Amino acid sequence: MKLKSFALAAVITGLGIGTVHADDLRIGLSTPLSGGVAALGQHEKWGAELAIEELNVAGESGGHTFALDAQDNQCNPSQGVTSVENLLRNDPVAIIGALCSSVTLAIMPMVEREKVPLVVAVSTSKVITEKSGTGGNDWTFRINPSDVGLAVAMANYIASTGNIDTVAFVGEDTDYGRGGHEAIAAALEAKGVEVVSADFFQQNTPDFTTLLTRLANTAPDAIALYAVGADELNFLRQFRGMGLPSHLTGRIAFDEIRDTVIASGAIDGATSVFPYAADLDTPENRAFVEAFEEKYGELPNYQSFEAYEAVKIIANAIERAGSTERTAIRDALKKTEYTSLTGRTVAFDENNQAHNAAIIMRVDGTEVVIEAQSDT
Amino acid sequence: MMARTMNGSRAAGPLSPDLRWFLCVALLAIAPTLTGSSYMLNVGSLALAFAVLATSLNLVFGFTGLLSFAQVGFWGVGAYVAAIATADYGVSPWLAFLMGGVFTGVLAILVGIPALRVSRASFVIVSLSFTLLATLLSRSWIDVTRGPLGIPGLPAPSIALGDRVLLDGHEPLAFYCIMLGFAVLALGFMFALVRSSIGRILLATNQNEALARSQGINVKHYQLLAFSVAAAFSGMTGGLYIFHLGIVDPSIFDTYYSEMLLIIVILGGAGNFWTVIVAAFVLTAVPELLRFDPELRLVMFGAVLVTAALVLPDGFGGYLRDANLKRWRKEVRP
Amino acid sequence: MTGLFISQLVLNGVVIGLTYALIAVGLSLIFGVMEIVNFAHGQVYMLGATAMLTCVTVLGLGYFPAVLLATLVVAVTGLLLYVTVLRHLQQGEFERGIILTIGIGMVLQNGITYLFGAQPRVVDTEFSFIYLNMNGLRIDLMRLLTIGLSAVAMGGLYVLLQHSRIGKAMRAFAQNREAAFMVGIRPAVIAGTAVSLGIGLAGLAGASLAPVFTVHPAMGIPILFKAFAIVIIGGLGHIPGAVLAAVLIGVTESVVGGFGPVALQDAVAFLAMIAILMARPEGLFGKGVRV
Repeated sequence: MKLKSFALAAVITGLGIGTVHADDLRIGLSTPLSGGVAALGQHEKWGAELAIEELNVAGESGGHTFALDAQDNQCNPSQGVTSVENLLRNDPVAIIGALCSSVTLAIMPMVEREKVPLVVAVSTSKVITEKSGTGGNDWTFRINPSDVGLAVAMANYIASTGNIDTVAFVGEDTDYGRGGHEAIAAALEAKGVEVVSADFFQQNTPDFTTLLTRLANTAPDAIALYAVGADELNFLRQFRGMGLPSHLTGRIAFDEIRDTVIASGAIDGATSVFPYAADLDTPENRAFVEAFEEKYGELPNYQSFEAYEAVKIIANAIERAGSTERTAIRDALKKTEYTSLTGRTVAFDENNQAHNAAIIMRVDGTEVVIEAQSDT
Repeated sequence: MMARTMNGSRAAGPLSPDLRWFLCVALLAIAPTLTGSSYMLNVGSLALAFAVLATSLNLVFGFTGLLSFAQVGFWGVGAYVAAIATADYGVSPWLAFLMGGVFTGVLAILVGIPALRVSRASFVIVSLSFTLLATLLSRSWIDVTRGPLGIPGLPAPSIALGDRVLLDGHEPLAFYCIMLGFAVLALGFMFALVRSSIGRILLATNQNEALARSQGINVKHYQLLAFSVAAAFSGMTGGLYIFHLGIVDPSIFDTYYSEMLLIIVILGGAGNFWTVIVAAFVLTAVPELLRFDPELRLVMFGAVLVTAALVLPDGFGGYLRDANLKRWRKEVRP
Repeated sequence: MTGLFISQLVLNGVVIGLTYALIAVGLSLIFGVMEIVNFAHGQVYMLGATAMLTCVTVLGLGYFPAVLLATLVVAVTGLLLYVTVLRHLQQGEFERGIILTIGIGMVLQNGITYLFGAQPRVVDTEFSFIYLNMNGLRIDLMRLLTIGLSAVAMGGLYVLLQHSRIGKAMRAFAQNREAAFMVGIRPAVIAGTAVSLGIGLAGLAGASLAPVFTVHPAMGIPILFKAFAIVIIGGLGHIPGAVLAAVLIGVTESVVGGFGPVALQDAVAFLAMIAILMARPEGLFGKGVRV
């Protein structure tokens, strides 16, 4: 039933029959709504929708009302360009995008040309930071930590455990895995931890027994996994079967596997560094999780959290700018001091990169506990 | 073959069929510039790219009879060659896209020789493997392709005279005009080819390879020629279109493109020059304008593909030809 | 340690090879009888897994009844596909067969995505999370069940083809359609059975592997290309060849992956296929179509 109404909603928004009023300020969102990572894109959309709903009810932001314009980019740069062209037709005040780093990199020159603020909320490639801010693309802002920030946090944690000297890296053969490897190898080396091997598998690989057998043979102290979706599930389910002694860590989306792998007890003791955890114990986050769960029947994840904050940060900038003119919004964004649900302050450095917390989580039996919060 | 000749020589109006089709396509090509919407122009640019790609597939499949999955491979390889030439060697985009075409044209000969060695079946599989292998290389040969991150920040093809920019490829209208100019030349070349004696030989070998061989025609040479020309134009299209996207990455080899090409050629009618071009425009624009849910759109396309292959084996072009033929028979009957 | 390591690699390879075999055999059977390269084979494998998911999570069936029902559903789908679409193919319409099956694959994959969503799902049965340890050699019980089912299915297919009337008719049909027609073999029955069997085998592979891997709409694509390579290596339409090639590829992949990078492991099937096409285009195990 939920499925059907969801499908209907998708068709209706697809046809453009939303409840959009002419004087609404439009916030664009380019995210994958079909294809392999559509589930993540859907969460990003939900997060943004919830934030807009709250803003419109509260009537904050200087009496403005907002509307979300979400376009599918299929995690494909060329579709990403088309999706932003579609967004630009509706004259948005700002765009949130684009989940996959390669798509974000493809649309960055477009927003610079068209002079539209782009708030990057999920993509982690460090290249985005390198290209943004003073002297570069001055219209791109990133609120989530980059690969480098997360890698440093993870390296600090791994070094602090004291019993991990060797790490084997396993990642998907995408910008996510490759970028993650580059960052983590440098950060671990700085801490004196050796990265003994790096394996990149094709997305959509079903069988990991060979790789796991090899890792069981070399027996590194820890395995750092950078994978999402089906690959992550496959790897983790097969991980226990091969009886590996290594500690499991990496950027594991615990929120996505709570009811399956974690509930089975298969990865007891594993740790993960992530920009967000639904278990985060601040009053603001508890309220967000409750509202989200009530509206969508699922726990919010990293994507929903970041999109929620992106919308709030844009609205906050519009309020401070006292204008809906894009250059004014961009200038206001630069001076952002927004209190995140994590309790930290989101502010942009000279590369328009914010430094929110990295959260280190650990699986304790069949539960996720928050081990520490760290700088990025 | 018979039908095509009759259709071609039928003189029912002041304009030859080719000229009429040309005007029809020209109208389609001008339409996006009239709307003035940058969105329509960008959809139009994609449609032009698909028109050249689909025609190159049509040359290999429709005219020569070889089902090729390598066209998307060549489009991607051409794109990579052009992107690497501009990003790493500072070559101008104008030259870079031509380099992409030359590279893929030569590559096609190297792939084509072993692919054509055995049978039509193995040609299909080799052409598919070529595209898969190119995808794998684009991801794993990091030193050259930069792997999954791709090569972002590509320049747009522009013309500047001193400080004055005459043509800025970033502008949707300017890029559309560039794409249109390229498409006219590429399609013109391929049109001349299929209407030349070479084109007739290709059609003849497609109809009856053994007979063509018995006439002393070296069938493989002609097949290789068609494969290479098609690859060169696919590579150039990729090499040019990539400057519109501004980034090349492994998703340039997406199976979505292969499926789209196949649908365009099948629905347009393999072996029909003009209807395939019209199909490229219609099938690119319609889903964009209707804004279907993407999954539903692909379900629909799959169903259209099956239906077309079942009830319209020669596509829309074949249907028109048959309809013309019927009318012509009626006319000659007293 | 090294001996155990290599034994484990070979064991993994045989296990994964036998699952490849199940998919490749169906592909080879359909090609052998119909001369159709079934580009929708990966999607029917996915359909089997999705049917298994539905049987277990919605209907609450146990492992064996669920596998049986899911396989049956896919085999019937195969029969329907034959009756509605593939029946119209004439002999020698090789390219048209590819186009039709690509279209069928698109409808199946995107239709399932539309109905069920793209997110990966897991199937847990009463045998999940049981791991056997034989003197250090490890195997997951679910995989052991899969290769058991695979062996039974292939044994059954062998008996069917060698000893039953319809099996003999199928082989005759594959060798010479017109002659078979003249001696009273009804082509529609033969071809329909072969398509349904071939697709049913892919469905069985999907159903039995659903609890081993995760289930999602794109799961059939990588496995399809691997199955193509296996069928070519074994010889198009040569069923025992496909089984042998599948196990050979499975073991080679596993050993290569045990010592080299994962990317090389992925390339094994391709490189082998290209080498075979160059050196021995009729496949490793003989000439022509043999079912």
